[in-house]
Amino acid sequence: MIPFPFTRVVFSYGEPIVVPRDASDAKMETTYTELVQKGLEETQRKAREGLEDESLWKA
Amino acid sequence: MAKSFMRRLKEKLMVTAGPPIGAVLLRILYATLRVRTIDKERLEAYKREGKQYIMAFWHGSLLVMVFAYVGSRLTFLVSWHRDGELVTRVMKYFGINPTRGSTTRGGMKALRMLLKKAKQGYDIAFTPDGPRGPLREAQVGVVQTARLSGLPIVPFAVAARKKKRLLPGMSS
Repeated sequence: MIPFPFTRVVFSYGEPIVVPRDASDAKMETTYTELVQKGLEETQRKAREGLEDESLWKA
Repeated sequence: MAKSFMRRLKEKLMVTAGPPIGAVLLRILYATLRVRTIDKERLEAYKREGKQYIMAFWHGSLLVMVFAYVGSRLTFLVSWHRDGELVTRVMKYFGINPTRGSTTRGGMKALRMLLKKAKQGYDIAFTPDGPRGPLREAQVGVVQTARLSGLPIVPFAVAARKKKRLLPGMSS
């Protein structure tokens, strides 16, 4: 996407996800890929909510 | 024949003149935006401590991500198709180092190149749903890169009140 000029934009940085060196292939495909999916969805949700969170936009 | 010459010229022009103009327009646009950040402090601490990370974001945030990166050296995995060439050239204007390849196709080679860059001190930008989609569905490549490099994956997202969607079916 590309923002329109002069509009509000929120950058949201999520919780780090660490993948242990001994993680199995199966766990990488499921558990950790899902953690990335959830992490991105959560971070996206926070960014979207930030647009209307007026405490963020004071000053 | 004349037509194919003209088309080739047009493509050549797109690839050579497009990126610098695109980069300037993007900077001008960015200067007009009202930007706020959420939980950026962690990455600022990473930067102070010289800690590297993998910045993961959906494909659709790519154009804005160049302004959101916290750190000093970033490489981005760009696919080999022709769009990839354009992306590569635009990113160079933002000081982002491209690594060409794909972790879905010919995966191991791209992965090795990324690990080499990580050893050299680069942070890694990664679109877990790219480049061929499905959109907003994380694939395992980013997890493999994190496991082998030992770097944490930091999810990143951007939202804009008014925006134009460049990819179909995106919600922001």
